[in-house]
Amino acid sequence: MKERTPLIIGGTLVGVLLLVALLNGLGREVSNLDPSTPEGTVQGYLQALLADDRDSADSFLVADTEDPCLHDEVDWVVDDARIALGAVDVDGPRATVEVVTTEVSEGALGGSRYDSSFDLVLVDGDWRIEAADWPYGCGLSRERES
Amino acid sequence: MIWLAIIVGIVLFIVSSRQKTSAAGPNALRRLFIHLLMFGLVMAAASSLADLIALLIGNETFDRTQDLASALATLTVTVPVSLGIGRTVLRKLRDESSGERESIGWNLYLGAVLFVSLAWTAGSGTAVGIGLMAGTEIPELAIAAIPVWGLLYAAHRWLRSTFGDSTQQSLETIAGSTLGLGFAWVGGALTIAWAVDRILLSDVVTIAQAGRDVPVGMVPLAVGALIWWQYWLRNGVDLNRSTLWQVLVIMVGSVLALASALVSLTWALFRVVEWFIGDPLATFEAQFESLPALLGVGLVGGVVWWYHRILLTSGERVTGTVREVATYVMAGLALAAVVVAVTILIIAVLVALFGTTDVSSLSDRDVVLGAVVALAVALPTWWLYWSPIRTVSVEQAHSVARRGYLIAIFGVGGVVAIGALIALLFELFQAGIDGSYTAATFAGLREPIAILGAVGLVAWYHWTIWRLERPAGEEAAESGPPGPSILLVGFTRHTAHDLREITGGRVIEASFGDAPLVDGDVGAIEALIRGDGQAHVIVLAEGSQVRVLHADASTD
Repeated sequence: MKERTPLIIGGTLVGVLLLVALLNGLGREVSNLDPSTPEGTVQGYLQALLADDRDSADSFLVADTEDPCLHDEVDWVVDDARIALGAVDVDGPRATVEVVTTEVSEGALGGSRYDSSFDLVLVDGDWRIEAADWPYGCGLSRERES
Repeated sequence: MIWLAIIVGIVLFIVSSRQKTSAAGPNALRRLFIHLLMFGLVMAAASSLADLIALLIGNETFDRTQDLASALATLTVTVPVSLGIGRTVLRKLRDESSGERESIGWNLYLGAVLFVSLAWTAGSGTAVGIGLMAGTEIPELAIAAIPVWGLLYAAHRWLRSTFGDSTQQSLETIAGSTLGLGFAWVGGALTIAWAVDRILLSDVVTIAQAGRDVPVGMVPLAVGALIWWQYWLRNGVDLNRSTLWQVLVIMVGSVLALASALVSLTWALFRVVEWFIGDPLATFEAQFESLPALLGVGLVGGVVWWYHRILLTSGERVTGTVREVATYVMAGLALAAVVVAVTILIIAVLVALFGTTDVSSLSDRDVVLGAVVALAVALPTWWLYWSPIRTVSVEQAHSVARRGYLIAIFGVGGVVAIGALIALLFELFQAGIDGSYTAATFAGLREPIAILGAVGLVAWYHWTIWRLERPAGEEAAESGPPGPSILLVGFTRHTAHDLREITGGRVIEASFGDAPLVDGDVGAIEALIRGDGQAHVIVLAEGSQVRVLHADASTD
């Protein structure tokens, strides 16, 4: 067998996979969720963060959040992240939204993926974020519960 | 600064004394020191210049004053000193009779600067390329590093082509090849992972995104492929007589590649099997979220391993000894995978027999599945390498590689077994001192017992090989020669062993050059020898036939 056969087959494999992936659509579209839902609230908050619009991001938080990290710990993610929706659990006036954050520049090779949960409460008919896991917050509500 | 001044003073002293004493002949140690110092100065200067440019084009305010002062101070010292030393070195290089061009120090310096500057240029280029492709922020340092390190690389390429010793470039070539392979490896894995992720997990809902969702792995793939093509395909692949070449092909291209492929593909296969007959996670996305990365790493590792396996087995590039060593190294790696799989299997059996507490985050059924999948991958891989060398000729059986392999297995196995035994006794003593043997005690015993079992199995199997292949004299000395003396020609070790057992005689093995060894019918051979009634016989394998000849006792 010729020495370069594995290289040709490997290159072809990468090309075919890329082609099929691109035929599926060039990358993933960002879904527009209903802003009146818990997941829509989280989406609004995260999109405001990615746009570096802190004032708008703060409008999705409860007024007296005890989680100081919600404001301070997200610099790293602003320029370099894709955030996917995980499970959503609504229990009366409280809800939990899980998200998976992946650093764009490192792709899907593990290590740069973070599973985080957001705790939300219903305030005057609108969902507001009360606490979140790292890197968006300190996860205070779960620490309190435990 | 005082220390720096002292160092500079020492350097200038050495340089001036070297000029005065050049007629006394080459001084390799002093040259080495000068080039080592030159290397440090050039690295510090380039690094500081890149930092300075990054600070000037960026808007970083944190510690800006301190960083600026540091970069300027380093540049102020390193640039003039390195230019001064460089001028002296250049003068020597122009004098062909000085021996500078052929010196180890100069060629090591060239290789090291070329490698580091190439690594910086490639890394920075990749960061800039990814930023441009994904539309994300580009680090200022990467932008600044490309011209600085790129120019340094280009300048030293010119120096090498003008003043370098072409016979001393294998280090640079192999290091560059490894760098290119590394970039291409990571880039290929990232690209495959991206594509599989988009194909397999197309239902994932993206709610926010910074930058564009594009296969950024193509950037390091392209950068790495370019470097690898230049360093390896154009030059390095033909340096097959070099030890560095053999180390790269065996340790990186074979061992590392196969290990990454085995681990990744085993885990990926387990996730798939678990989905169908195990205890999978709640959703398809959760179950298979790691699959793209595993397939990326596994497939690229497989391709890298396959390419280097052809290099090692084609028979054109490596000697028989190198191929033999490579085969034993790979067999050892695959054997380690088998040991891990058997260990997990024994743990699973212990759990099934004696009840369970938490083995891991996996369920009991998944632990069994994991062990079976790991065995299904590891065993064929081990057999691929072990089957051709399981039965070997007399000469090969006593080769350094084979004896070393067997001794290494006993040595490593012994160390692992001692560690497991200590862990086992620790659990027992701890429970005994506390006076409470609980489920937790048993849970702590499972792993040491399993490791001891797996290592014991491997040691026993290889001990039988070791015994079979001991030089005939050793065995005869131990047991004495009560039966006939037999010269067995063209038969396998197993045949010789069985014949030794059945006749109680002394069996000396021999082979016809590289002719394949035959598994003989020991009963038939023994009958022929007994029927012949001679004390000294020669037994020949002639195709499927066996021929027995008399041997004169005086020749024994």
